Amino acid sequence: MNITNILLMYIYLIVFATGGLAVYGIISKNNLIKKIIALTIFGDVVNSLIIFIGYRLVPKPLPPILPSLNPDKALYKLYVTSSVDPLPQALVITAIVINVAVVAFLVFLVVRIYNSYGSIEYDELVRIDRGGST
Amino acid sequence: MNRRNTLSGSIVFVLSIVLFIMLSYIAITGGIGKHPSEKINCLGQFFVNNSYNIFNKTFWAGSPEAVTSILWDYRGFDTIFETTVLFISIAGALVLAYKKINWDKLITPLFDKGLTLIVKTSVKIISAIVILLSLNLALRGYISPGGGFAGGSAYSIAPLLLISGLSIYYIIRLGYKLHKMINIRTIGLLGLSIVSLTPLLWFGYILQNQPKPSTTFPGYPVYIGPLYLGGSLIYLNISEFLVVSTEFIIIFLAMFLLLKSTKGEAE
Amino acid sequence: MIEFPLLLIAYFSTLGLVFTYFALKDKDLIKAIIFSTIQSISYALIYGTLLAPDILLVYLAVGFGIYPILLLYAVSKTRRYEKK
Repeated sequence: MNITNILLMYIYLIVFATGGLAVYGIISKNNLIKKIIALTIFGDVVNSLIIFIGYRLVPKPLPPILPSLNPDKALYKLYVTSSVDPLPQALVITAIVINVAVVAFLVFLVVRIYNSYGSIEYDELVRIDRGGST
Repeated sequence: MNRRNTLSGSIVFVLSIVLFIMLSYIAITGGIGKHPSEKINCLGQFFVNNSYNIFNKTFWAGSPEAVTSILWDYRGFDTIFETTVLFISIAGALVLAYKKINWDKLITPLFDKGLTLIVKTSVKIISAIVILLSLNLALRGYISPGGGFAGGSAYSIAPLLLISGLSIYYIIRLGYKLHKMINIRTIGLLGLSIVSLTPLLWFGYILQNQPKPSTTFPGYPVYIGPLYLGGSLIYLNISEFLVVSTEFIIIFLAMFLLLKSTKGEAE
Repeated sequence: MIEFPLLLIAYFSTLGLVFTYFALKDKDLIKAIIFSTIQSISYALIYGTLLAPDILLVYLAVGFGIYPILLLYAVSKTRRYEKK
C-alpha cells in the first residue's frame, strides 16, 4: 500500500461520493430547478472520471499536441512515449455540448410549466394533475 | 422528526460510506476497468503515433493536434450526430417560446437610461476583446488547442455582455435579428455538408481527409507553398464555429424577448 | 515527483464535494446557483491538471457563462425561495 495507491483510492472515494450526492438530489428534491442543478453536477463528475482514466502516470507527462511542425526523430520519440490519451478527451467534448443542449431545452420547459400550472414543486404538480386544485 | 426517521437515515449513511470505500478499492485494482498506469490504451496510442507522422504517411491526418484530428477525421460521424442533436434541441426550445413579433417596430425605445457611463464603455471594450479571442480559437483549431466548439461558445459571451450592460434593443439595432441568425446557421450547415460529401465524386468515402490506398481521391491540400492548411480541418472548424455561435445567440434572443411570464414574477 | 498532480486533484475534488453539499441544501435558489458555479471552478481546475487543454476551453465558456445565465433566468421568471 504505497502512497500512490492511497491517493488514488481517496480520489475515487470523493468523486463517487459527489456522484452519489448528485443522484440523490435528482431523485428526491421537490423543486424542479434543484433537479437541473444536480443534473449538471452529475454530468461534471462523469466527464472527469472518463478523463482521469486516460491519464499516464509517468514523472513528466505531456499534453497530446506535437510541439513543432518539422520534428526530428528524438522529439517525436519523446512525444510518443509520454503523452496522455487523446481519445477520451474527444468523446468528452461531444458530451459537454450535448449536456448544454438538454439543459437549455429543460429551462424553457420549466418556465412554460410555471405559466400553465402555477407552481414548480413536484408534489403540488402531481396533485394538480390528478384532478384537484392547489 | 421522530426517532425512527433519524435511526434509518444514519444506517443508510454508514452503509453508503462502506459501499463507496469498497467501490474505490475495486477500482484501483482494476476490477471496474482500466485505471491510470504507465501505458495507455492501444487505440489511443495508435492515434498519437499516426496523427502527424511524416515518416510514414499511410494513416496520417495532417495536423499535429491529436484531439481535433480525432474529432473531425477519424471519428467524424460522432461530431455530425452531435451537431444534429444540438439543432433538434434548439428547434424544440424555439417551439416552446414562439410569439409573433414585428421586428421593425421594436427598435424605437431609447436606451439612454440604464447603467452608468463607466459600465457601458468597459462592456463595449471587453466584448470586442472577447470576439477577437473567439476568432483566434476557431481559426487556429488545427495547430493549437481550441477548435469549432470553443470558438463558438466563447463568441456567444460577447452579445450576452452587451445585453447585460446596455439593453437588448442595442443588440437588435446592431443587427442580431432572429432571421439573420437562422440564415447564418444554414450557411454553416451547408458548408459542413459540402466539405464532407465532396470525396464521393472521386469514389472516396464521406469525410475523407487524406489519400488512402483503396480510393483515388487526391486529398485536401496540407501545404500551399509556405502556407500551412491542415487538410479539411480548417473548413470544418469554420463551419462549426458559425453553427454553434448562432445557435447560442438564438437561445439568448428567445429568452430575453419572446418568453414572458404570465403568472407574476419573483422579486 | 510522480504524485504531485494526484495531490492537486485530491484537493480540488474535496472542495467540489463541500460546495456540492451546500448547493443542494440551501433554500435560497440564487445562493444554490452561486455555489454550483464555484463547484464548476474546481472541476475546471481538475481538467487543467489532467493536461486536457481542449476540454478546458470549452468548459470555461459553457460552465461560467451559459449555465448560470440560463438558471438565473429560470429563477427570475418563477419563484425564488423553495418551499419546505
